Amino acid sequence: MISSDGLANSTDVHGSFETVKSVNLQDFPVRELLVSPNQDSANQTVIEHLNGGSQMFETRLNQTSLQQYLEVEQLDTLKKADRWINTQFRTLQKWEGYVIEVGAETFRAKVVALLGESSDMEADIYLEEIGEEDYALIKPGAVFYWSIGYLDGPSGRRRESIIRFRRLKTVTKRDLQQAESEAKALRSLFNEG
Amino acid sequence: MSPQPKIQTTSIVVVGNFTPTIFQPSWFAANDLITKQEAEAATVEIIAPPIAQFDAEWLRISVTQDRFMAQTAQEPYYEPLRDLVISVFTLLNHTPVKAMGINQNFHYQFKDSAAEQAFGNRLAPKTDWEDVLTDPKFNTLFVRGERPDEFNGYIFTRAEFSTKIRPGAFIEINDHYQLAFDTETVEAEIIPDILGSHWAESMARGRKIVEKIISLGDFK
Repeated sequence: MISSDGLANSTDVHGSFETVKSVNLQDFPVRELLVSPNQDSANQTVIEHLNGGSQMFETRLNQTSLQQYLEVEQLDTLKKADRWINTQFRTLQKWEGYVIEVGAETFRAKVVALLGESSDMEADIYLEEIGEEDYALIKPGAVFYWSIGYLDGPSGRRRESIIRFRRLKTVTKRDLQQAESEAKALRSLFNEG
Repeated sequence: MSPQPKIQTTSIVVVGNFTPTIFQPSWFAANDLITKQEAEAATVEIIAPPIAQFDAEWLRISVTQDRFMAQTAQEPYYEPLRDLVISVFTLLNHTPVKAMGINQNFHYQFKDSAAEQAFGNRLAPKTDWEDVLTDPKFNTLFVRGERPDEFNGYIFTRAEFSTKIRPGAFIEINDHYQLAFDTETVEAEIIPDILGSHWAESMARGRKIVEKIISLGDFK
């Protein structure tokens, strides 16, 4: 753990720790930073923002990089850490769905509950519920995630419905190129025959 | 109504060999993993050879030379987070990797300070320690369980008092897949396979563990 002088102590419940004097930790709550040698490879140091969403802010850098970058940029990053979790969404219902057909103003979808009590159903969803950048993804068969709940942010709580279409790469360009060249090879075999 | 976490985050961490400078918002947008809008509005904290880190609207990406992490603090984006990591390692399928963790973090609020003390005493009874320590107090509980599936690894749980929610408890679940040992690595194409087939199970297991822990205390 970090001592009150802002430097790493040598012992803690997590194991033995290394003092990294090049890092100025004065600006941080002493309970929230953990400096330790990496457990799974040598010559590395872990700076972990403990417990306040800890792993989000954990950073592993080798010693030279640590001295080069951490004092300025990374500590600035750690300072901003809280801002990122200031907004929390409390989900009441969550579905995964797929598009059945697309109309002029709505699309019809089959949805299955991922969270909350709800049976499978079909729903007509207004296109205007969908973000502009997802429009191109609204096609029969497209998968989306739909959550209804409360968004708690710095300005209070509001009810929200969030629909996000799936962006999933299951085939790479390389796979497509390989498939194309295999198809060409097969075609030429047939042509030769 | 059962207690609700005041803060919760989910992350997917992959240990391996990475080139951090690849992982810029523009790369994610160019591969259609996030929207252009999200990429343009992203806050880049640092892009440098040893580390890349940025926040998009719902997403935090943090990559060092030995560690990739994608994280969200918003539940509607848990599945998009999974899809994003599947896509990253479909695109970078030859990247050498050695471990993956599906991690869930929760902060719950106690009903009052007395409930906080009672919870600490429940996990580490003072009476067990009073003969060897003066005024012993609960600090952190680590519990490690074996994986119930065909993979190597473990399920790791940590519980301690929250530094964010007062009085509160912080609970961390690390669903760890050990994919290779010592200096060995495997190709990252295994990551999409595991996430595609074991994600729901890992997430449900994490929630079950958390429910168990909060059943030991009096939470709001």
